[in-house]
Amino acid sequence: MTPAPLSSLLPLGALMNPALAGFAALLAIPLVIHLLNRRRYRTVPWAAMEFLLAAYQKRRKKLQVENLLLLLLRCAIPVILALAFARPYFGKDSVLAGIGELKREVIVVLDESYSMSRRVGNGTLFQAALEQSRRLLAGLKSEREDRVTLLTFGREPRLQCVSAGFADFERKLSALARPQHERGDLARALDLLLDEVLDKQVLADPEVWLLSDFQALTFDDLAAGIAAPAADPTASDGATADASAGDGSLQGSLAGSLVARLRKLGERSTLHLVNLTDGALPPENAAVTDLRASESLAIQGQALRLTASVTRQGRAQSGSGRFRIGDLERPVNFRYDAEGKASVELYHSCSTEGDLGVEFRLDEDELADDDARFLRLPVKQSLPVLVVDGAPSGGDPLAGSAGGLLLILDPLWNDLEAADHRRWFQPTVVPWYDLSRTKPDFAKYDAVIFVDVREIEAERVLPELTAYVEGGGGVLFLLGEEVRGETWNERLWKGDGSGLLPLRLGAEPLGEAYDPASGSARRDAPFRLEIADELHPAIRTFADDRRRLYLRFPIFRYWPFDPEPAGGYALPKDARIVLRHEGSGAPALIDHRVGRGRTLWLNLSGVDDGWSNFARTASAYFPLVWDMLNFLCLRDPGDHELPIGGAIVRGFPAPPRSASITAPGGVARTFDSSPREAVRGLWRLEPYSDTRVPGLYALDVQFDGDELPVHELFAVNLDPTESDLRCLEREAVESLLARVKHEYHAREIPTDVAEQAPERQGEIWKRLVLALLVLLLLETLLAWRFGAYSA
Amino acid sequence: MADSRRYLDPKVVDRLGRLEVKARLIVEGFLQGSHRSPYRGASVEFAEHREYVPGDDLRHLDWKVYGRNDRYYVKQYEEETNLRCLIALDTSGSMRFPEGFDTTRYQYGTLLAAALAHLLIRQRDAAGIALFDTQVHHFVEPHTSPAHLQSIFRTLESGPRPPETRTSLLPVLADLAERTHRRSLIVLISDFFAPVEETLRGLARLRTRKHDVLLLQLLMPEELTFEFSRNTLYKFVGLEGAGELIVDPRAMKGEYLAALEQFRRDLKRGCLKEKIDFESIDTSTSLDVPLTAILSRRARKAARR
Repeated sequence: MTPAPLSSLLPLGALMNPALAGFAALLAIPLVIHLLNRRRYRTVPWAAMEFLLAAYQKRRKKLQVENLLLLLLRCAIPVILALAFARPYFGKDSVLAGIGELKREVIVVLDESYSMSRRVGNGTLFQAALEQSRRLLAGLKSEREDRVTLLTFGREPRLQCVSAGFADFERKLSALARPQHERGDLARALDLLLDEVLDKQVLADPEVWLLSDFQALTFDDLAAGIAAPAADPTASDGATADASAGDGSLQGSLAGSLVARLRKLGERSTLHLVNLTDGALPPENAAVTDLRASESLAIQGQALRLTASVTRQGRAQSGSGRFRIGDLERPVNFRYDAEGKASVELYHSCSTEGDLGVEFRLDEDELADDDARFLRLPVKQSLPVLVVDGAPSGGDPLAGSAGGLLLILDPLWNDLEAADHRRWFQPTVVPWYDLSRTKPDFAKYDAVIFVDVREIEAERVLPELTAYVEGGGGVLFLLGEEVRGETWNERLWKGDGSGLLPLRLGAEPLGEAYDPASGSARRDAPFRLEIADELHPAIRTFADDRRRLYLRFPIFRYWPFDPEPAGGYALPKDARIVLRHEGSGAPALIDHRVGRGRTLWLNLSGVDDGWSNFARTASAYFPLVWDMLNFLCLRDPGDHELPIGGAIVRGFPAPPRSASITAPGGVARTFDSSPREAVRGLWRLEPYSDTRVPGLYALDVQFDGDELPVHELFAVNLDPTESDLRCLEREAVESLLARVKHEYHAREIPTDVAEQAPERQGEIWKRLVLALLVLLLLETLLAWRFGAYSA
Repeated sequence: MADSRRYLDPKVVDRLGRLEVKARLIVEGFLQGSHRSPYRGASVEFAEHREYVPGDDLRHLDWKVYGRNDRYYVKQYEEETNLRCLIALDTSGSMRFPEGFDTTRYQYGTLLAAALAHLLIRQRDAAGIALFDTQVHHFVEPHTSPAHLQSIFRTLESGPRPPETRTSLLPVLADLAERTHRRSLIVLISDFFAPVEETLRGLARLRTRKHDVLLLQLLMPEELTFEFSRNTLYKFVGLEGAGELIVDPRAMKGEYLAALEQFRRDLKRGCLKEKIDFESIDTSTSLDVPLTAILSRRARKAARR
């Protein structure tokens, strides 16, 4: 049963068990008995009638009053009994509030985000919040059956206990050693409170105590949301705007939804806002908001740039910290710019192959949680790449169609004098027809490039290639004049999207190849590219507004992908368009994820000058090829960069013998059960989600046989937005929440409010039971008195 | 002989057959309990001997007879008839109360009147009977003859009047005063549920004629206690057409008993004022109580002579 929402329903109060109030109809029983009794009597002939009549005349009015009184008493007994079972209570606004028992239903909503770790005096804000919670607890009385609910919230709200006793509440409080390393999401916490506690639990006029630092960033949108309605004629009344946002639609601004939730909360409870900071800024706080490397992976011996972004609040002009790269520690000093930001850089050349852990940590300040950030950097000797040449020219790869590409990947190709030089890519060229002659071993390469290849042999090459991609490999397809579209469609495209080719190719290339000797009309009106997904790592270089201009080289001829008859392109769910043709929007570069691997499809010939100026536009060709290959080689970078609470999920081609994870601080956890069977060729470990502390988590896996052990790092970082410690002061809160019914308390709860809570409502069932007993006694006495009246 | 006393219980007697038998049994039961024979009169003219029975006054034992034949005899004297008694019995509707029960007020009154008449005639007193409601509708002159007793019994057995028959004592008492010329003892047996002033005015007329008047008010136990079973309403239907009332008796008991008591007090006070004897009799009591009252009155009267 969903109980009636409480005091808001009735001005006088409400019932805990409204259904039982129906038993009040039992009052009809005494009435019926009374009426029946009037019709049931014994007839007695009586001689001394004149004395009886005289007595009746004398007692008639008194008798009527006595009968009425008894009848009322008897009717009141079932009504009061039914009421006692229905458990009425009276809200603070009720005119009958005075007769209610002073039972309190206290809900503590505790901000558990990491900004509550901020030091204040000898403790932290979080400790202050716990102390205030205990003060509230001290003001409650168990003999009154006061109950407590504890809801804590970081990114996720957590209902620690619901309408519980004091011991449970105290136990839960004691278990809260420190805040979570998470950003606080007040809106979700309020949702949970409204939906799971206030809607589903029967709580008599609850008091909600929100203990938080009231960060301004939580309410930044709120301020905007309050200003916004002026532009919206339908929302000129704030209430309308708030209500619409609060009707379950979370599409509106955070402001609208927060105000709506808080208003709803204020209407259904006595809302106390305890601002533990009351707007006070910390003297100084700096936070590491980002840590990244110039490349997504490092090559042994190749220097790369590590950049830490720091933001400070306060007046400090400079700061200091240190990089820790593996076991190497590098102190750094830096200066803040006028906006209080600093970009701290360090160049580093990695010497050891394998995963490298990078940490940047500031000198500790008022809020220690945001002083560090972590990065996992995979280090390789080089990236072996297989280039399948679609138009080989004799024995010299440089003379073939892939020659230009080869020099981009390895400028020192075939230079015997530079054999010892460190290379980023280590290309191997193979003519396309050689692939079908021997069973190709794609697994040796981090990426494979098919350059203008006529077709992919179906018997041996295609199955191997598909297995390679599904196992995590990356393949780049450059489509040129040699490509036989029909064959490719037949062998690589599948209607359900599981083929390597995401969309069917058209019947033939579009446009006319430009011939510099004869000239062409298409040169005056070439096709051009535009970015469809500017955040895609395969075009990382071009995310910059200036650099995206480099992609505007002219295109004369390209392979079209087949659109749907009704227009548009039916991409598989794991595919997305990265580059498209300007104007028509036709896909030019498609990223298609297949299994654990990826394919990139560029519908241009990267080698044929007649098709486009791509190969001749060094500013586009070089970075785009490198970005695409780095993206393909890195496979799945997101798997190793996790938010707080993110799950570490890994699978291996061989069954692991043992596996363990070492958390920050050196606590290791061994996986109890190894996977028993491979799923789609991978032996998957049980997901590890205990990543509540930021830092580097090391996964070590041992295998039987010749399989080399795996040592991988996972970087877990907190959300830096919570580092903004600007907090709202009283005036700001009152102004922003002007329409929300609440009481504001600065820093701590006043003693009288915590202990007495003057405006409370309570149940009266005990009093009703007492009244019932009194009525029963009274009825007995009066019935005896009226019935055996002696003169 | 001990069994004879149980005939003083009206419920027992009521189960017997003829009124004559009832009256005789009552009288014998009554006499058995006395230590002094009520036959002792003021006259000393010897009449006969009678064998001694327990209860006879030992002073009247004839010791000479005992000396002669060793048997106990008491001497009996031929007393003069020095008492005329008219028994007036109410036969109005209220005397049928409580209808449907063992003994109604009328039956009790009949037994009492019959026993009294039997007793008086047995003592050579003159006894007569009058039945009345709003008027005297049966009247038998007092006489000493034992055969007269049958006439009294027949009159008594004529039964009560219908329930709606009212009582009107003033004309009845006036009529009795007119009919009774010689000074007599007039025993009025009724509930006297009539206006007290009217009753007293009628009695005053009797007293004016020098009659000795005895009022025997018969009240049923239900009337005296007003006890009814609980949790039930009662519809009281007034006899003599006194109306109806549905009421919880428990709620009315106090006021009712007070009103009844006030009525009895007023009637008794009025009787005292007129030097009239008044005896209120609970009909659940044995019949010797009213008989004793009557005989002691006769004795007092004889003593005065």
